Amino acid sequence: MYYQQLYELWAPPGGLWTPWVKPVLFAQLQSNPAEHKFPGDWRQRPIGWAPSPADRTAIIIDLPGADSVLTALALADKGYRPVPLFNCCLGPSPVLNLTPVVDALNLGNEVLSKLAIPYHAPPAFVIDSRRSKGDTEPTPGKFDNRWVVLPQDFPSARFMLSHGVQQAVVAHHRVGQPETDLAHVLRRWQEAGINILRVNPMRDERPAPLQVARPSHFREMWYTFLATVGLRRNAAGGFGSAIPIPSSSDSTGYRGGFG
Amino acid sequence: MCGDVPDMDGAVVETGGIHFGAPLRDDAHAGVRRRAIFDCCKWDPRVEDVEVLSPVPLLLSREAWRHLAGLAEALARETIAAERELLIRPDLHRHLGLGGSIRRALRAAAEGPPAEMARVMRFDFHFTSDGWRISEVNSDVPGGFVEASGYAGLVAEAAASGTLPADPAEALASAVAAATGPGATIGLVHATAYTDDRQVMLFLARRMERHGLRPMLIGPDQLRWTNARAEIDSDWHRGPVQGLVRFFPAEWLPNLPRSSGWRHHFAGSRTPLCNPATALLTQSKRFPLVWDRLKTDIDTWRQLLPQTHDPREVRWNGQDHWVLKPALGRVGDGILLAGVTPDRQRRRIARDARWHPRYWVAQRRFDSIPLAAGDEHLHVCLGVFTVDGRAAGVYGRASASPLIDHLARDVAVLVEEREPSPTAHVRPRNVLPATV
Repeated sequence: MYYQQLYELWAPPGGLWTPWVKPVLFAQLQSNPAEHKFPGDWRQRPIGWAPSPADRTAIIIDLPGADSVLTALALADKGYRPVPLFNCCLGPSPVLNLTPVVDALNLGNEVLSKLAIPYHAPPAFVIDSRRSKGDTEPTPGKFDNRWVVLPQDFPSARFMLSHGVQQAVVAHHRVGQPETDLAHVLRRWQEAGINILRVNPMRDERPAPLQVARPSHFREMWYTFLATVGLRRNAAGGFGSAIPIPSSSDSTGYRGGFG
Repeated sequence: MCGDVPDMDGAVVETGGIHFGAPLRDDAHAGVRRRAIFDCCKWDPRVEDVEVLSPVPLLLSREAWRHLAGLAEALARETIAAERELLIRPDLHRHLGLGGSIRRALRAAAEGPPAEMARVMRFDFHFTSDGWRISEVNSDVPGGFVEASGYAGLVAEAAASGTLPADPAEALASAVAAATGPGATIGLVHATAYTDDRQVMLFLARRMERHGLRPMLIGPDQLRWTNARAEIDSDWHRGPVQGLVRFFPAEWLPNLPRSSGWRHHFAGSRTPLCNPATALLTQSKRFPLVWDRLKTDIDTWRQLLPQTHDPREVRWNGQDHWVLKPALGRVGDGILLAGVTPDRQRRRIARDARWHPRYWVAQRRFDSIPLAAGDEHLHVCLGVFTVDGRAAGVYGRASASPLIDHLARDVAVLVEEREPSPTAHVRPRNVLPATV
């Protein structure tokens, strides 16, 4: 029950952006809430770069682990609605250590419960920059819980524009282009008329325009398959051997989700 | 919202005892959604701008459910029989759109097929102008347990207008327990990095625990084989398993390292498998292309599946009445449906089918009849599960488009508790009689 209530702090019933909050992590949590560790002080996160919520700018926080969540809490305090999009699983011997993320999400109980974020607050989507690489080698004995973001995880550009969101800032530590999976989302938004900017929160800089390069397999019907195959392939231990599709080889291929 | 609907000519078409019920109240649906997430592992209730869980249940008359159940059981019998015959007919495997490594593994299966347990399939029924038709069988790794057992069960509680026709997760867990005995360790094999699959496995694991089983969630590379018996080799568990439930497509198995012993899924496993990878023989959309060379009686299939051809046998290009499907496609992906598939995808599919026709089929398009659901009309697909040949529940999906794909909504399918009205339970025209 505790974690259902925690989920509803991050995904308040009736909220404009609530339907997109990924419930995956919250639904798996069973640990004693008292066992969560202090993940760090969200008030210390640098968010001077963030536009005023009145500017109707969406933010995508693509920082490592707890940093992403703590930055989201700082932005919530400023008037943004944090939208966690962690689409990953907990388990023993994981490739991606999610404990810091979970500890930081738990901090929402203390922070979000005291905030009155307006219904029309712009969204701050929260993802983990470690998602596709993990923290350790995905050797066969380990639980492979790496993940990718897909366009269907986010609102469409049409939805964003219809709610006055005409600009999005990617907060990340990368130089230049975003991660490829995120580029598939941002390029769609950009083509639909949303202005994309980027910023490195660790530098004292203002968001700068970002022309998102067209990623490979952009808008191809097999993209979801190909993106997840990248993880599945490694999950299966078959490093380096591409899973073929019918158009490319003498094989059966696989297209999309299961049954 | 109940009753018959006008067809394209304005004539009334019998809806065969199926109609949408009253929607759940907003607060009730919000509660069901929350419980689906936390109690039933429904972790993907949103896809882009689409709220996947429909608040409107689909109601079947009891006779309609018996009718569909009978058809599914007949199909399951024929599918199993055809698979057995195909196993010893390797000369036909090359017509099924299967790759070389899979065909080699299947040849070994003719000598020593793997041990099986709890055979599960899902037949996808569509309501058409010609009555019920099927689009495919998911005979390898059918999904939809979370929705057909978990979500639909919650809607049944909240709506009080019907009951679950059957509970496929319960049927599967029960069949596995019966096959392996109490306390058995069951390996639930899936791609662990993919939450869409993990949620299905975790949901089934919880059901299995209720039956006294010991489910272990593992990746396909975390198996080792000794004397054709499977053992788990992971950082968190090592030891033998008494059964394997796989949710990892069989056509992916050849991509695993040799050390995973993936060939045992096709041949020789002494550990009972649910499902054996030999299911690919009927999972292929090209299965109908070998019917005429089989001795097996597949009359139900012939009557319910639209005419299916190798793309080289018919003039499908530019013809609206043919649908192109990949031999091993799933969830509506990669399907060319004129007027529905976007132009860019249509060109890509058409090119693929021309260049690699042996991995495609051309199938006669059926005329799906949408049913009234409030102020919209929705096409429905009823995925009827069978477990060990017995009908075991329904996974309902609905879409404003005739193509049921990943953007379709999940619909709770319930059997009406009240007696059907004289007009509500009429059988659609041109369909087979119920066999139960």
